[in-house]
Amino acid sequence: MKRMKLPGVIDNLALLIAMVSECARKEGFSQERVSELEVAVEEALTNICFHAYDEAIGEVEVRCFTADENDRLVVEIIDSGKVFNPLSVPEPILTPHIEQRNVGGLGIFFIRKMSDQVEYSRFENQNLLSLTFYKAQKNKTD
Amino acid sequence: MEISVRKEKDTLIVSVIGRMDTISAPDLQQKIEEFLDQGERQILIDFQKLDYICSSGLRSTLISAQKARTAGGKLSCCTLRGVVRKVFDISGFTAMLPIFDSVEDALNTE
Repeated sequence: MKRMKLPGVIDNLALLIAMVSECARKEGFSQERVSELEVAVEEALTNICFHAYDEAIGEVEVRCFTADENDRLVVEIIDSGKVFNPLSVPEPILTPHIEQRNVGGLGIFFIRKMSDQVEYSRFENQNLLSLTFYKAQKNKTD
Repeated sequence: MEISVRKEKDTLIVSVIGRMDTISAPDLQQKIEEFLDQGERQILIDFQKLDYICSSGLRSTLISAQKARTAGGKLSCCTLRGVVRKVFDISGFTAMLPIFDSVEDALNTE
């Protein structure tokens, strides 16, 4: 398992994402799948940086490990901020009309779309978001 | 992310190069606002050399497109590939913005 814990500020995103990318590349994930994984992880981390902690900067921990004989990579993102379950946020309205389109709401949407599985839990005052990635993204019906 | 610009016919071609992440995404919006302030009205963002984009990049692109429209102009995109194409497709941006396969296609349509 690889793990890294840093202050939850935007400047640290690159380091955390790079750790996960490197894990994925070592396990033979294609560059495109690695990029999709990076999007999901960046969206989750950005949410924490901007929304998890009201006052002082809090920490965020990222862990990644393989499962199922290295066919599956699991990325766990942990913070001690406000209770927040990203899965409870409704999907954004993807209107094709530019004047009606809201600028926000896509971060969590991409976490769901780029990951094969997303699970949330709250444990000992921490949010734990678990993202699972298969080397070849499973067909999504939604 | 690097941004380079050139003009062809009446279109300002804005090439985005590298990665458009949470830190670099505001640069695109800022640049396009500057170009609009300078009077540019036909803007084409060329994504050929962009390897990565996240929702912050889409946000910048959308705000830029909305501002261009408000100014009486138009913002188009071209040469999306890889994860950038996928991000545009699944977010519905491909259906919302004028998207072309190449700079030439975009210029021939203007």
